[in-house]
Amino acid sequence: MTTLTEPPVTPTSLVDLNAELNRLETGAHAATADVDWREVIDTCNDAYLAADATGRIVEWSDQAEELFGWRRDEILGQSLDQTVLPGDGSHGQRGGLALLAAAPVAGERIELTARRKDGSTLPAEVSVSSMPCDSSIIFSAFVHDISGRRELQTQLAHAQKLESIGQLSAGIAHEINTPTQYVGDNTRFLQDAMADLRTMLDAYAALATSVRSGGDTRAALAAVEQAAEDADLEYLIPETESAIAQSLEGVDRVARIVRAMKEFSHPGAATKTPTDLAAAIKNTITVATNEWKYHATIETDFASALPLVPCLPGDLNQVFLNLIVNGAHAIAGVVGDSGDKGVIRIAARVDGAHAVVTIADNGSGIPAEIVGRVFDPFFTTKDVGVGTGQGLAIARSVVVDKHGGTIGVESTEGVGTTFTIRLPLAD
Amino acid sequence: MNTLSETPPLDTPVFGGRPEDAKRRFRPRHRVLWVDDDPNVAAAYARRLRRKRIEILPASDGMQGYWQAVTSRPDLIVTDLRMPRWQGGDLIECLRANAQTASIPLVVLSGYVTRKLQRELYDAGAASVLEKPVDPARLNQTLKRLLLPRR
Repeated sequence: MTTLTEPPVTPTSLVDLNAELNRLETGAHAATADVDWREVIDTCNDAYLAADATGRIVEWSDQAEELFGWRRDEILGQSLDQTVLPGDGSHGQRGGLALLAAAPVAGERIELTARRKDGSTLPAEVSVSSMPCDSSIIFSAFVHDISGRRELQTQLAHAQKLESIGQLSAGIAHEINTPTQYVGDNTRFLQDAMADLRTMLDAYAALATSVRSGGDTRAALAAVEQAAEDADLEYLIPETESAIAQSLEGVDRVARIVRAMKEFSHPGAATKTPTDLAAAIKNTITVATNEWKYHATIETDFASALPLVPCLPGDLNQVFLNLIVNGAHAIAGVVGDSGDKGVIRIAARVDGAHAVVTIADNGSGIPAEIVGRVFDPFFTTKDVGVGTGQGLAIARSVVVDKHGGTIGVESTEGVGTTFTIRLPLAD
Repeated sequence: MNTLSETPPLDTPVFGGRPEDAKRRFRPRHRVLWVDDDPNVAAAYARRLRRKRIEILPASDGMQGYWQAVTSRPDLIVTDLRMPRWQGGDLIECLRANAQTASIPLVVLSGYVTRKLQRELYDAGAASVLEKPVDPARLNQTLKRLLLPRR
């Protein structure tokens, strides 16, 4: 694109260029040799290091000293995998030279986790090049500290989580407050009913006393009949039973949503845990009830032999939530307030070495020209203030970056959208 | 409520009489239309208010509520906000636009009400805006205040 603004190459300038090239190749050779590469490297913003073919560090810049904490004189001759690039079992990262040699093409950047002298980890972006040196090979690398960027990504993911929890809280309040309202009303009804029943029982007791004493029982019987009449038993008994049944139903509903919320947020689960995906999805459906129930029904189809899947449950629940809410919005866009409902189908099964979760809606679908961009950060078709455009970007980041899985989308406008998530069964 | 129309079992005790008697004995002084997509809410309140001789007419969404309001002319309407089909806001708008229903006092009772929403609802003509679960004394006072001037 910049070429468009460059001045056209004229014959005169070509001559000049040739002259310049000749000068560089011959007479100026001595001048280039005078460039102090060490100073160039030390003034570079990135840390520079080089290693020989056995992985021993042979070059170490001032910035590397600052970034990693090792002085040049103490690290030269040491091996990469004993120092800055130890292998890391839990992240499945190979150590040492193997990591640098894995760089696809010279100049292309790879992201990895390095280690400082004090043992702390350092998220870094590294560009590697290899060059022949005396019948062997030297790997040189520029290391760029990306901990700031990682921190921002984490904050952004957290902000999106808070945003969706804020959005959920109104729905959850509704889901909890409605049963609380009628459980309270029913209990007060039962309190009144109990008072009536007590009056009746007192009348019965008086009748029993009267029978036992062998006196005139007519007055006592009349009192019992009056108490029963006042209590309106024909109404009271079945309504008492309904009030109890509906109160239990309400208490169960509140308990279910509170339990689901606790499971959903999963505080502190920072490492991968073997997780029952079907249970996690059911929880997310419950937590999000108010987001979909007015426009959609949800059908689930979980394979019976679904094994536990190693994952970060809190992060993955966020992914399921984003996809369910998106599906409900896509359906709401079609059915509106007609009272008709669309369907969100959620299925989980095993396919080879992966667990596969599909979330399909029969909503509006995504236009073909933008379906390729839905996972891009900040891409949104929703109105300003409705969505930040982070939902699917975070879904992609959680599934791909944190779980080594894949997420894909298929959509047909007017028919619906299906998201497919594949998660490796082995960590 | 259905139990009122069921045939009594043969061993019905004499005390309290037949279900028809229960129905006959209930002579409401006021009728309140209660619109909520959860039928348990209106059912529970109907039980409580029967003692105060108030009859509850239940409706499960805004559209049904509007139809009920026009055909049975209740003394008071209580409505939820989030419901399928017509939401509470739609119901209020239609009730206010219709001369037959415009003067019926209206109470909003919803699971979640923000300050902003509360202002909008008062502006739209709600007589009271309450949040579930409402303090029972407060709801009683509200109903009393809105029902009494009518009889």
